[in-house]
Amino acid sequence: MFFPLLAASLLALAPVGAGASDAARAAIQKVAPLERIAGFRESALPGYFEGVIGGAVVYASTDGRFIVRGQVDDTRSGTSLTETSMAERRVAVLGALDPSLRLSYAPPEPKYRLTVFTDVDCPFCKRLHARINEYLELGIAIDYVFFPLSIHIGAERKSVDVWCSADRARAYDSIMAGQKLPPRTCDHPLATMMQAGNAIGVNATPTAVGPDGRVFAPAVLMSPQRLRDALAAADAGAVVASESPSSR
Amino acid sequence: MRMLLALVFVVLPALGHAATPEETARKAVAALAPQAEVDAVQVSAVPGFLEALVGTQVIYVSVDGRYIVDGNVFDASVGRNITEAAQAHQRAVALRRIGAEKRIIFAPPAPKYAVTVFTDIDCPFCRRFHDQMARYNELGIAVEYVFLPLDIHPGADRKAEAVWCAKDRRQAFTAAMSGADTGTASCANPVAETSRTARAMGITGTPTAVAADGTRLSPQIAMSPDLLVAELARIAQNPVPARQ
Repeated sequence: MFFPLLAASLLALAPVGAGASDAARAAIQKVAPLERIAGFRESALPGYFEGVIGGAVVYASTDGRFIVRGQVDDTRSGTSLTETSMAERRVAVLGALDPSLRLSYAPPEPKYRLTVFTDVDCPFCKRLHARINEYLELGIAIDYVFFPLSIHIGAERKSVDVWCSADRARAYDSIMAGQKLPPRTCDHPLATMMQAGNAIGVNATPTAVGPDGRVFAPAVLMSPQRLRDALAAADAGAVVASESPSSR
Repeated sequence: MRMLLALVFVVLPALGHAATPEETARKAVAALAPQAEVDAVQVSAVPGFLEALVGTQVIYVSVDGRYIVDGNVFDASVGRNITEAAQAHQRAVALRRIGAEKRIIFAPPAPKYAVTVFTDIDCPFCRRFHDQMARYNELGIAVEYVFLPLDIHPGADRKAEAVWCAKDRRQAFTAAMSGADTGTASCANPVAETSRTARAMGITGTPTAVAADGTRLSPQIAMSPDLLVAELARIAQNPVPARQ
């Protein structure tokens, strides 16, 4: 199902003559020479191509002369082109992250599903997890992905201890409640998890990404009720522009 | 004749919709941020875009008014961040409003470069910077101090005024920077005005060093006489282009 769709979208892109975008692609690549450009395409911004590199959208003029980094807004639709592209990227990257590479907390019949990048040493991550039952009762399933920040020395090690425990959820519950875990080792996917976060520009925890790729503002995420309302609004197709991180 | 009339009918409605760059930019910005004030608009070096100044921030508006770019534009052909260059230009214009009579200048006999340094008597790095004055001067750098006493240093504004009102400002400044009591002299002084100008330029920390072309020098560079002279030499070779 997915592959024919992908093939069709590739075909749709094909008419952008080979070579027409080479200069733009090379210009974007220069932003981070060792990274792969994702989502390269002609931008809605006239005269520009765009691609995601280093976790952010970069625009390049067709001739490759001008590189734009920042927010591009469409005043006609009142949306951010940049946020739209990033949301697509988040959906793609999280879609490609195997479900087994998450620590899931789900109610019996979840109405909503969120990916939350978490760090075992981050105070707000602990505060969020302290209320996990409230989220579950509101029908929100939370899939945690470990994203230990470099400022929290030892957080990566502790994440491995959680992941390598026989009962991961129990281990996570206790470490988030301030308890110590015995050190453990195993084959773990921490690097893959962190790569996913970096690819979509996650730079803080907790960061929550909805099924449509939107990122929820911390104030919304930290309140189960506000989060549920925002998810319900998103579900109804409402534009919750104020929840997007790009809003000023 | 009929053809001419037809032409008039085709052209007139088009003229009716023609908006000046100012109108286009203001309308676009208002659609996104109604409270934001557009201070100036000009055609950008980026083809297809207008450049609008909102406060000290430079944003780009597509000529049709539909798209707003809030970020940095890099011109690969000249290897320059042209957004930063536009902002530097704005800073240079603002700097010129602070004349020599509003500065405390420490210059060598034949200065090669001049740098404006926003300073605060109670800021530790400002003191450390001043400790190296002989070396800056020796390298041909004239340091032109402008007062920016920060709110986090209560009383620093009074000290700045006392220094300004001393008979020998340079001597009083150097004494104050080594911890001497400034006294409480009072007189007409430019401290409030220069602080306002600095904030309007987006300068909120001290010491902040700005080259004559408006380029902001990073603290790491400014705090080292050798790095600073090298950077000022580089800027003198390749200044932010002056603009209309």
